[in-house]
Amino acid sequence: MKEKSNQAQLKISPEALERLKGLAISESGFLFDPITGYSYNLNSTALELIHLLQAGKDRQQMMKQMLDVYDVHVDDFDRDFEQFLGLLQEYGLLPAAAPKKKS
Amino acid sequence: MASAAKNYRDMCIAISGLHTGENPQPGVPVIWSLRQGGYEGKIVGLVYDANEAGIWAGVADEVFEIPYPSDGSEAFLSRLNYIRQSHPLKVIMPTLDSEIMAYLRLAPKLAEMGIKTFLPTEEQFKLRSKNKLSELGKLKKIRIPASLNLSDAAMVWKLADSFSFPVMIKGPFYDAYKASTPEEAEKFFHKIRAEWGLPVIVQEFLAGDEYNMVAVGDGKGGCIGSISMRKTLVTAKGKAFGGVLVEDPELNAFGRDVIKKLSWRGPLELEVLKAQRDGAYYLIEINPRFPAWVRFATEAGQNLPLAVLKLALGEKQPRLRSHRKGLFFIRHSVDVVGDISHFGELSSTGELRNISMLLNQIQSNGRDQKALRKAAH
Repeated sequence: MKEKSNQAQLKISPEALERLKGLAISESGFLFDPITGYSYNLNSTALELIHLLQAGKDRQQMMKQMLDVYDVHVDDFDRDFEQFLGLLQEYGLLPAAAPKKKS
Repeated sequence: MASAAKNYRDMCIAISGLHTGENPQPGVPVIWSLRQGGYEGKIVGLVYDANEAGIWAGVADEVFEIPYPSDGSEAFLSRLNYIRQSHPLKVIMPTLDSEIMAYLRLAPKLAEMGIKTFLPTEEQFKLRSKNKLSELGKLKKIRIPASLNLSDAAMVWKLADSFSFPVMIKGPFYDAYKASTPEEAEKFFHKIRAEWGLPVIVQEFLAGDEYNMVAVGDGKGGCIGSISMRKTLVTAKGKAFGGVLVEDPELNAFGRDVIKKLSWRGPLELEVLKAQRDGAYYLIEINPRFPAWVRFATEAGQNLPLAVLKLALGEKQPRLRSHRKGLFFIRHSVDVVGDISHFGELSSTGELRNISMLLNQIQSNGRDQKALRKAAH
């Protein structure tokens, strides 16, 4: 049951995971996208999040890890995380999420 | 590195395009790549002017001035025969757009002289010309932005019927301007016509990222090697002054498809645009020679100039693959110093031999004078 719940919260598709794993990221937060040739600077939180995404963690696992380390409310995490994913999509570093199917 | 297995010590080859500077030619990085790949034979630089800076950088062993392609084949062949008396050239690698057609037409004569090249066919060469690009797209089913050849300024005013502004206004050989209105388009039409002649080409403007690919086609549809880059620094003329290596499988597939459909033989540079509107790659231009940034490919592990030398010699050349990733380049300009008497010798006689020895003399004279000054103190 728990396994099923985690799966439901997994935002990152295998395609997106492959894309993220192809990014070259240095420990100082310099991110290079070898497909487009663009580079970006990440702050320490973004660096941590992107490492978690690359490791294939689901949203729940990431939230737990961030909440353990940082003094942040769940709602703030949700908002900031959504914004971060939106930025990654805007820069083409993550494929845009597929529209949700109607049940 | 397999390329180092053969040193070609007794060989003599010629390479053109030694001008470096704001708009550098590919000759110097081509020579650098050959040396890097272990080529130890003689290299003759074919130059049009004593001001070609690469001469004074000492990359070629000897240089000879040659007539411009527009002077006709007789003048060129006569000069080539003169050079061959002292330098039995085995291969010529022309590196300038304006030279390629002349070499293609002279191919049978060159073959008689025992001189080999590895160039496209005349048909391939013509098909890639800017004013034929649209035709190429239709013929070979390659994605190309919509374009139209203009032979008359009045045509500019009818563009709005089939194009939305802005549009690109391009010369048949060089230059491209973005025109936002028919007035601007007409201004660029006249500017390009005055400088480069007709036709002036109008091309659909596509917003997106531009990428450049250098590659070598084997002439049978195969691609010997290729690398791609995105320009990160450009000159006022839009030429690359810095770039970063990109590895997009989709871009590689697009480039290989173009080479396959053309059965391209020899070096080429593809200018490609990834359009924002659909994320697809579009072919903007094919340059029928190495770009000035070809050293980048060599550094990434694909010595394309050495591959062309081997192919010209009829040797086997396996498919090259990059073994280095995450590279960038920035062009570095330096002043080179020569002795004015050597410049004079080249200007008056049209040739200069033992260049590295002459340049070494200048450097050692400089060192001697420094030592003398030090001793005098």
